[in-house]
Amino acid sequence: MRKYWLILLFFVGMVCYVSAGESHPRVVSAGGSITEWIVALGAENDLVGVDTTSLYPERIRKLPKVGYQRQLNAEGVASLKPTLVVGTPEMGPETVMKQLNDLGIRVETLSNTADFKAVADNLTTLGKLLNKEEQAKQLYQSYHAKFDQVDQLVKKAQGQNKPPKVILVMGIQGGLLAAGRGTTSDWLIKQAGGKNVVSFDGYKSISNEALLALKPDVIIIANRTGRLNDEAIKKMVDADPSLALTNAVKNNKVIGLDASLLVAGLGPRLSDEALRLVAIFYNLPSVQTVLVN
Amino acid sequence: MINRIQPKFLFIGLLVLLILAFVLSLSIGAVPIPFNQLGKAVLSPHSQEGLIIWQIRIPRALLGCIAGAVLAICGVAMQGLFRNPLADPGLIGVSSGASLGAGIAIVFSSQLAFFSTIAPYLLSISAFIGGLIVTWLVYRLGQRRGTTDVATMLLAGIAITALAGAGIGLLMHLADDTMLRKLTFWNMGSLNGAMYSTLWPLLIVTVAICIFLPLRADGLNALLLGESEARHLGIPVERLKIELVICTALGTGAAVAATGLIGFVGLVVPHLIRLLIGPNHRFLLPASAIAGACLLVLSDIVARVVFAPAELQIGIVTAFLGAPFFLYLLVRRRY
Repeated sequence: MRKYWLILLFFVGMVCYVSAGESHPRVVSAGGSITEWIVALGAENDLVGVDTTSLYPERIRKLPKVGYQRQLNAEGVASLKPTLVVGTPEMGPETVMKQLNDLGIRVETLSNTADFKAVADNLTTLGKLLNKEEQAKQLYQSYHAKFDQVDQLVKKAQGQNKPPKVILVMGIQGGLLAAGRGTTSDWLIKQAGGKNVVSFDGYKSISNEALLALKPDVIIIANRTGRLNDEAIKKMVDADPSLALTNAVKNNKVIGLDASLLVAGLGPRLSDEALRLVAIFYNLPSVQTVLVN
Repeated sequence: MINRIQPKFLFIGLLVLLILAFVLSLSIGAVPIPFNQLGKAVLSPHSQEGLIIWQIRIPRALLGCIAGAVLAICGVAMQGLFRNPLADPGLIGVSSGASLGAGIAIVFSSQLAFFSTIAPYLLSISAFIGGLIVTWLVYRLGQRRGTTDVATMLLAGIAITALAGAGIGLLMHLADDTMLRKLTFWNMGSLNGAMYSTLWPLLIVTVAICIFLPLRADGLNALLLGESEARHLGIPVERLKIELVICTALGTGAAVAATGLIGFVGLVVPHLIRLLIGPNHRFLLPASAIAGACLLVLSDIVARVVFAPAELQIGIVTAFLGAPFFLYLLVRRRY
């Protein structure tokens, strides 16, 4: 009986849902950063659904969820009547993408490579698709300008200091995953003038001892909230007293970072994050940043 | 004890249930298609609704039928072979082998990509081959003085499954985050993305097995008495054992290759039917196949609807739907 109620409830929801006009593109976005760029372009009203990695800005979370980007289902996406599905190569399964094409829905795969060229290309494509070409140009310029500012800060700071050794980890149950080469985390650390001391490719698990051996000056912990309070850090150090031996803990440089910044290529919030990191890496007075929300 | 049902009534009931489930599966989904417009949509395959039904829902329902039937019927074969109601196709290593094959395909996909034509099917092919290789290994280890010793095979299956598990663990260590998630999802099974083009291999294997195994019903019945007794009754036991292993490896391997791991069906459906109509394989085999088909089609409806527009993995649903029902039957059996 419950099942029928669920189905009924769902249908009622759907009926309320399918009432918008068709003049605008209707977009389903899969991939956190892609969704953020769409919002930054001022095309938020075109979004009709997002995947579970799209968390910013927070009001986006109210949109219908089409599931995890790798596990989209054709009918679920189609039920939102989109004209366009955008995502990264992470989008899948492939057969579902093909089915969406068969249904006459345009599927656009954007790059998730961590470099400026990918951002420029993605913005150009999105600008065309969403009739926001002018905004896309300006957005990219201001984004790049912010990173130029980061660059200048880094150059100035590196004149007097050695780049700090940085490790970015994600807590997983039963251990830590560290960010290696080729990841967005790696790119971000480099941009902010840090030296990522993890040498393997991608995200892999790392033991506490290995972490210790890398002698990090800064430990960045990617988590859901993005900010770590002293208590959380204290807990971590208590759990593994050996961490207390690292410069990172001694100099109070265990910091949090919002894990959603690292999904689906470079997103618009990364420039501010880079500014924050430079300030922490080189003990600069905090740089005034404008939060986009 | 439950009062046993007449097999023919069960068959009629199951077939009606299957037809209902199939129709329900075509009419329910994230895209609302009112029941009175269902016929119209089916008849106009190029309309939006028609495309949804013909390109998405029908392949899914068919895949559910086929995979459910073959998983359940292979479950019967295994429980017959091991004379143990706790046996399932996983016992002879086919599931863990397939999982290992899938893992290898996922983790080394970039290195294996030179077969660009088969790239989309790499995962399925690799899972199928993995299942076959591991089953063959278990079967070979179960050979004792020219005959197949079922007890040894069982132990070998457990050991090889553990080994395959270690292999998967090692792969997980090499995998990145994306691969890990892919593997995790694959291990829970899904009918998502079913297409006609990928249904054929499984359909052929399933039809062949569903025709062949019932022909061996008498042999399986005789096996219930024990191997030597079956031999005295004139059953070619050794050949029968090989046939059962081959059928299970091919059937389960093909099903798992198409859908990912869907547990529970091969273990519980045969049990359930046995509780209802008794252990005669003549009825048990076909009834289990139909019941397995029903279970998967119905589970898939739930998987698609509960969290729409997202979907749940079907392996979770089969366990949630099937396990309580099964437990209820068990509890009722107590005096």
